[in-house]
Amino acid sequence: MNTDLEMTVNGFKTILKAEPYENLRDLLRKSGYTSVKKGCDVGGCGACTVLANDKPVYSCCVLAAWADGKTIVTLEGLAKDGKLDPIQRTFMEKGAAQCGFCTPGFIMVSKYVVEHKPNATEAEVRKALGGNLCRCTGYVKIVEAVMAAKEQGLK
Amino acid sequence: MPRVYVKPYSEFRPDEYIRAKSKEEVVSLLKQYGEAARVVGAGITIHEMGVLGFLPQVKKLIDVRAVGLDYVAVTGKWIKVGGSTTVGNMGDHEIFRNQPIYQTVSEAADSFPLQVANAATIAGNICSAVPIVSMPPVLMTLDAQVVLLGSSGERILPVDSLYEDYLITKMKPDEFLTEVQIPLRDGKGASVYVAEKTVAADYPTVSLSASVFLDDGGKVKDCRIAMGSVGRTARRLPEAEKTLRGAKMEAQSYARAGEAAAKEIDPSADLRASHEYRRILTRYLTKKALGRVAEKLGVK
Ligand code: FES
Ligand code: FES
Repeated sequence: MNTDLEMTVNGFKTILKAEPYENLRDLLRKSGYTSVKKGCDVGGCGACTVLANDKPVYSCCVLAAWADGKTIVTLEGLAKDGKLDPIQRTFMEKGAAQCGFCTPGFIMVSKYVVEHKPNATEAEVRKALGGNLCRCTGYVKIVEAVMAAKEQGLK
Repeated sequence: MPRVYVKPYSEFRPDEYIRAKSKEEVVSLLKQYGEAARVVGAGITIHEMGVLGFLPQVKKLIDVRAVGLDYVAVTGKWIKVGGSTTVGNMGDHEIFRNQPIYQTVSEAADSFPLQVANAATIAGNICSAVPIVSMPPVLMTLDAQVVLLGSSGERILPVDSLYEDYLITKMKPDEFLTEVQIPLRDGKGASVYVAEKTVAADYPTVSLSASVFLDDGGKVKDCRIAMGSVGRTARRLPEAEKTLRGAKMEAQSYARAGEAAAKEIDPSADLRASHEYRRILTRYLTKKALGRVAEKLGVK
């Protein structure tokens, strides 16, 4: 039986229909938010990370119904008026993506770090990114991108 | 270890998601549906176990978020934590952050990936009875107890005696966890959480929580050691604790406790580690944990 879920996704109030067993990631993907990647199914990779009420969560792990009434932001919601979010820009400038599959997830966590932990040290940034896997970059450039966004005071 | 059969995804097909409005409604729904119902918070463990084929019988999911169980309150003799409180919010509460006696809670919460800590509830971490999650051993070392509400009223069980077996608690089908209670203690005490992981996003290969209280002479007056991932349930390590009581906080005592710990556990082998490696980690983590407790207690 479908349930109606009312949530704000990337600034738009919407009503999405989900099955009781469906996870948030699958709901978002089938609703067109395909930046939310499917890497595993069980909180092992971070590729599905979205912000829920401003905090990063694995959208594959939580039931879609959990997001009822919440404000969700996916990668699609970051760029404003055709302008990339600063964290997207520093990811580009530092070459923090190769195949790019992990990138949406990393950017969503990084966005949270830059906004909520502006004084985080490199070690703390690494810890915060600990829940995301990247098979390509070796992480160094990703950490550099987050540090750069932080240092430039970009939000 | 029982053989775990991974069944196809399609087996987890609850047909209804019910938003309960009061605790009483939760209880009556549980009574009505019995084994076919599960209480959900964020649904993390439910979803994972569903995917793995453990929950084919579950048809009704009961959301308890609206029944007012999201709080951390320090009152009289207890720290009371509502079941719907996220692990992250619990760990960020200043009593767990700043007071050495309870710090194992914050340290364990910090070991979760952010993306899990922000959604996972403390009740889910406890009630899933998965032996590899972090919070049950942590709560055992703080002598925590849980309040279970069911159709015959409320009852209280220590976390230490909550688990029956792998994935099985002593909770009745019509009961759900409303509150975790941690006794306030004073005295010269400190607690720590340590774990080894394969990668940060994973469950711990082995986790250990320890709390120690010293007497005036600097000897161990009281202590608790508990572990996850070393048996069919999270568990205390009474033998290791025994070697430590009355001892001085020094390297030899840690080694003795580590030896006892490695002996009394019954670890399984899985993709993360062999039995033997889990014993090695247990020795190592016991020493590491006790060393860090000693540091916090200012023992030289
Ligand atoms: S798809 Fe969600 S953590 Fe891997
Ligand atoms: S860029 Fe390929 S997985 Fe990270």
